[in-house]
Parts: sequence; structure tokens; C-alpha cells
Amino acid sequence: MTAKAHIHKRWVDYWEQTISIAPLITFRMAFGLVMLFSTVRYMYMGWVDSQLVDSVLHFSYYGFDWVQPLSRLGMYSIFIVMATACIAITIGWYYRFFTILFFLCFTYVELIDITYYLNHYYFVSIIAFLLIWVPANRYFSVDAARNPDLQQKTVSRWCIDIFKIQIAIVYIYAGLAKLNYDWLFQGLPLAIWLPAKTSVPIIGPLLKYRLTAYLFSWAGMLFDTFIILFLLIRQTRMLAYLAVVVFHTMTGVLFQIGIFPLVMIMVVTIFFSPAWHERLIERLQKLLGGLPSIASSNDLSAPSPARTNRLLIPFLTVFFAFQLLFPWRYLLYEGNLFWTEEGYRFSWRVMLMEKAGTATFFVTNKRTGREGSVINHRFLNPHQEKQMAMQPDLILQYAHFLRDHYEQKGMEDPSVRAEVWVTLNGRPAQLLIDPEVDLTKLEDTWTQKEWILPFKEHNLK
Amino acid sequence: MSKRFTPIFGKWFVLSLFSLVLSIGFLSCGDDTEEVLPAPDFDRAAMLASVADNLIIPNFTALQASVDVLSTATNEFVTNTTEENLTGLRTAWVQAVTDHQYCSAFGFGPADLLLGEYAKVLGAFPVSESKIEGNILVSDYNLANSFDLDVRGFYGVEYLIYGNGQSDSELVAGFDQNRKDYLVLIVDELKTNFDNIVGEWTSTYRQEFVSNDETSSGSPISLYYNGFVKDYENIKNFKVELPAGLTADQETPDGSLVAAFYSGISRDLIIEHFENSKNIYFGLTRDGDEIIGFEEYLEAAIGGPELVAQTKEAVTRIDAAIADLPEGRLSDNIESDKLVTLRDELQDNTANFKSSVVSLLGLTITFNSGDGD
Repeated sequence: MTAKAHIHKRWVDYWEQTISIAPLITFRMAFGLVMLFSTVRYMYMGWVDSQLVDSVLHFSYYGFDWVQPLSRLGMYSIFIVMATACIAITIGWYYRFFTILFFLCFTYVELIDITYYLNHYYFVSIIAFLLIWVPANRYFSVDAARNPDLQQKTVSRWCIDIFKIQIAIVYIYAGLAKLNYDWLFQGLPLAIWLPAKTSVPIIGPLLKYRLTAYLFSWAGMLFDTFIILFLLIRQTRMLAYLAVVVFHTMTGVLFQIGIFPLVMIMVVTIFFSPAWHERLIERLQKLLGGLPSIASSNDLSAPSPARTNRLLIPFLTVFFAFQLLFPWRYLLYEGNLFWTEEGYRFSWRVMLMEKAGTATFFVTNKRTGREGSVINHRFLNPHQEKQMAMQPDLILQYAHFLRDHYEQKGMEDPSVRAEVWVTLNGRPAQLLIDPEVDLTKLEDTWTQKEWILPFKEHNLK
Repeated sequence: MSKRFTPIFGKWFVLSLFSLVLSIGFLSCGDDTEEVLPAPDFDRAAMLASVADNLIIPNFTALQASVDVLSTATNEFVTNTTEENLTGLRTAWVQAVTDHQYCSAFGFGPADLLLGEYAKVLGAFPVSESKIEGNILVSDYNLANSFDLDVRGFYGVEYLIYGNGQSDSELVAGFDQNRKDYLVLIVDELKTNFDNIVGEWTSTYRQEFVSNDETSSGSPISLYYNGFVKDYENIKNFKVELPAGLTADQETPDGSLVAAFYSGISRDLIIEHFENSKNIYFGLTRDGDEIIGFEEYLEAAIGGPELVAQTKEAVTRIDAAIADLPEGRLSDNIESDKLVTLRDELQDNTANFKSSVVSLLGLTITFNSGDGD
């Protein structure tokens, strides 16, 4: 057999392989529960109002400016639906319908305002999307209890592997993103963040030392890059998981990162052996002893999974090719990625830089020639202003909003320019964009933004 | 289980050791540039105690005292409504509104009132003459039930005791009982609030403020910092830019938008207000004694000394631009280029005070940070 034929055979064989369904069941329940917690927390913290309902304007994702928030009642309804969907996913009730519903609602809310962009929201969207395609309700679920024909104890191997691959992409890409001069050789931005956290219990007093920032930087880079490897090796798996728990707990204590640590601690359990998950589910079955039909499904004679739909193969291949390639698009742009942020998002660049800006906008009435400045907080909440003031595409969106706003107020053909001073990793602030360029004449595109001024390297003393 | 893991422990141990050696190897490269030396210790708890005891509490106490004097002078004026007592009342008001410039940045904790930060509620300008005149006509007007900010506070008092264009004798003659009642009402509101604010600061809030040296959103240091920045931007936006007609909506300057339009002390108030911004940043008491400010904090931060140097230059230029403002009523000189210069200088320094301080110190700026990642 030629090498090519051999590879082809392995590829074809791969899609026929089956594996215990147990890891997928745990994954479904863990994801449902964490998302339920996240959804309720979001409402409880009042963010539905402060982030979605109260805003004067929203910043859109490229191509998604048609996504608009609903009324207050509408937004709360979406969150109630989402919470319900999370419960349904957890218990496996009308699983596919509620998974699709959750994916749509979550992604809708996520797309309303890009200033709230978080890598972990993107991650949740992806996981919810992938869950749509796998039969995670075929065991230990309400669906399987109601319809025993659905039950199966094994699934196609890819149904579990796709989640492992996705999680691997997140960690490894986050690790690779840390391979930069500031992170490794300046200990930045951790050397800025850690000394501000000296009140943290136990390790607090150590955080003021530059050495600690270096150690954390290197440890973080090594952890992200190699943790998947150690999760895959059976012998190191439990220790690696312990490292996952310690690492995420620590970042959770040190930084304001909400539920992200919890999400990762939960989803990473998919790397555990099927036997581990089977034992866990057995225990849960005992706890829920009153559900005989679920208990009896722990039966080796359960049917094997249906053959993989042939259309899924190219679909999943394209999906993961995109996941693997899209984060590298920054290579197509000139300039410092952290400065221009062209190709920064959707690339698992997490907690990578300390960046902040002050943006002042000037509107000129072309008829009178009079130029006036804009008081940002009349239109933006503090979070929106902070995010906008360091990201060129958002600066452009805001300028366009201002043009429309003042045009509506009767100004003829207003032009808008902005003075934006940005500091990156503690360096003296520099102008981010050309302060003379009329932003109303520019459109956001995928091409190089020539109006971003080049980043002037500045060695920190 | 432990038995099964014994040899693996060895492997893991070797790997950790390897990573540690690798890290230390890289770190030692940095030794030449002294980058591994610990950052000088900056004690945030000490800063909070320093500003609470030497800046915030003394400034609020001074304001409370001058408002108390204002209240006494008001009572005297309404019982004995003479031009002489009006002059005394005005003197008391000038002192109180001046002291207010040294507190307006501290609108958090006890000074965060039901309707918002105290300076927004009790320091709103311009006031609405028509609303005030309307309220005066209502006997037993219920101020507590009103959400209007432009009918009360320091500048509401100012309108009543300076009037808009009347002579002093006309003004005194116009003080009927309803007018007196309304004056007492809004002065009493000032007094009640500053008594409360000082009471809370000196009883319980001080301890709450100094005992939490975290930097996350909502922590004392972030409240203090946010207050500082917002207050500084208020000088630029509301005391300079809006009256000078320099915002996007405006076609012309509008002298009636200045702070203290009726008394004409707008220029003085800009000077005093910016004094307090400097005191906070550089760590100075109102009398000019050294305490701990953001400057000291920054000196210990990466890139901080450069920012401090840059800020000092910008502040010197602002001082010069303020000194250069035309003497007399600002509203009469509202077309002056000097206001544009001052705005530009304040603008140039905004990033220094705003984004750069927060970024270099690793402070969380927003009140509502969401999930973060």
C-alpha cells in the first residue's frame, strides 16, 4: 500500500471509530450548568440593563451591524430563554432544539456590542455550536429516558475529539501568543498588574517583585503551550488537571475574569478517560436512583451509533481549518499587532497587554468651519469609552455615529477627527491614529488601516 | 492510586525542574539591566490613610464649616433683610463655593447622594431661573421630592443672593417670604448633606476607606482615582469648553454657561478647582504640605517616572493658561482666545491623568467590568 493510500485509509477508518459516550455526557452537563450559572449571574449583576438596554449606542462586529438589542423586556426574555435552555441541555431534554436555541440566543447577545468582546464568550459560542452536531442526549438524559430507542453507550470518536481539538486550540494558541518580547523578556504586562494585587492572601507580598512577574509570565506561557500534551498522556493527566485547577484559580483570584476559570476547569474534564466518566455517571445514577430507565441504560448491549453523516466530514474539516488558520491572519498586516489590533480578536490572545487610551473627538461643521469637541460620556458608558479609546475600528465606528448624530441635529456634512493617546505596557502615550484624518471619509475594511500611526518602539527604563 | 503515580511524579518533577532552570536561565540574562530587582514598595494602604486624613476629611470639614457659616448668615439675612446682611451672606457663600472646589472630586462613599455624586447634585450649573422662580411661588415647596438638579445647591443660592442684573436694593426689596423660605430650604439642604458627609467620614467610612487596599473596580482606590479623573474632565468640559462654545453642538460661546455666572467669580473657581486636581495628583494638602498622591505611586511603577515628568510639564502649561485668563467676569470675556488655549492645555493633559495613570498602575477603571478575560 502506498503511503498516500495508507493515510487515506486511516482517514476513512477514523470516521468509523467509536468510543464510550460517557465523556460527552459529562461535558454536556458541565457546560449546561456553567452556562446556567453564567446566565443567571449576568442578570443578577444587572448587566442586562447596564450593558445591553441602557446604552445610547452599541459598537458592532464587522458585518453584524444589523444585530440590535431588543427592549428591556425583550432582552430579559432572551436571558430567561437562555437559562431555560441551559437547564434543558444539562438534563438532556429536547436536547438538539435547546442547544440550537442556546447557541442562537447566546451568540445574539454576544454580537450586540463588540466592546464586551471576550475570548471566552467566543469560546462558549463555538462549544454551543459544536454541541448541536453531536448526540450528547443519547445517554443519561431525559430524552433517552423518554425514548429508550435513542439510547447508545458509544458515539463516533469525532464527537468527543472535536471538543478536545477546540480546547487544544485555545490553550496552545494562547501559549503561542505569549511568545513575544514584552511577555518573556520584560515580564509585561504582569509586572504592571501583579504589584497592584499585593492585597491578595498568601502570595500577595510576593507580587511586588519583578522576579515574580517573570516567573508567572514564563510559567503561564509554558502552561498554556504544553498543558494539552500532559492532559493527553494518561500518566500525567491527573497532575496536569491539578495544574489546570491551580492555574485558573490563581488567575481568577488575581484578575477580574469572571467565570472564565470555572468554564475551563469544567470543560477540560473531557480529557479524562471514558472509565472515569462512566464511574462519575454511575455515581450520579445512584444519586438519582428513582430513574430506572436511565439506570438500565448502563447496558453493554445498547446499539452502536449511526454511521457518521458523510456531509459532516468536509463540514468539520473546514470548520477546524478555519479555527486553525484565522488566528494567523495578523501576519498579513504590517505593524505591531498589539498596537493596531488588526487581526487581534478571535485568536485566543488572553490577558496579553496593558493598553489604555484617551480619545477626544472633534466635529467640524463644514458650513461654518467651526470645530467643536465631543463629551464622550454623553454617548458612551465608561466601559465602552475605555474599549473604544484604544481600538482603531471602534474609533471609526464612533466617529461615524457622531457624524450621523450631528447630521441629524442639522449640521451639514460634518467631518470628524480624533486625537487618541494610547499607552501600551507602560510606555509613554503615543498618538494611535492620524489626528488630522477625516474619519467620516473612511470605511472599516479587512485591508490595512493606513491611518493608524506606526508604533514607536520605546525601551522602558 | 498513589503507587501508580509514583514513577510519573518523577517525570513531572524533572519537567518542572527543567522549566524552572529554563526560566531562571532566561531571567539571569536580564540581570545586567537590573530588571529583576523588586519594584520599590508602594504602600497603597498608606496612601489611602494619607489622603483620607490630610485631604478628603479636612477638605470636607472645611466645607462643612463654611456651609455652617453660610447657614447662619442666611438665617440672619431672612430675619433681618438688609443690604449689609446680604453682603455678609455673599461673603459666606464665596467661602463655601470655594471650599466646594476642594471636595468635588470626592463624590463617592458618603458623598454619593441619592441623586448622584454630591457635586453633580449640589454643584449643578447653570441653574434654571424659571424653574427656581416657579418653585418659589409654591408655598411649602417640597425640595426632597424634586429630581431637578438645576433648582438647588450652591449655584441656586448664588442666583437668589446675587440676582441677574438687579441692584442690591432691588434684590433686598424683592425678598418676600416665599423667596426667603426657598433660600432657607436650599441652604438647609446643603447643610444637612455636608453634616452627613463629614459625620459618616469621621465615624465609619474612614475605616472602610483605608482598610481596603485592593485595586479592583469599586475599591476605595479606584473610586478615588475615578473621582479624580471625572472631576478633572468636569473642569475642562463644563467650566471651560461649554461656556466658550467649543463643543460640537455649539455655534457660539455662551457666557451664561459659566460656573458662578451671577457672582462673576468663575475665573477664581477654575483656579481653585485645578488646585485640588494638582493636590490629588501630586499628593499635597490644601495648605501645600506633602502627603502621598498618585505621583508617589507612579514613581514606583514601570514607565511611571517618565509619565510624571511629562505630566509636570503639562500642568505647568495649564497653570500658565489659567493665569493668562482675562481678569474680571469670565462671561464678559467668553470670546477670548485664552479660553481656547486653556481648553487645549487641559486637553493635552487628559491622557496623562486619565488613561496613562490607570494603565501604569494596573487599576481597574470601570465600575462595571463585566466578565473580563
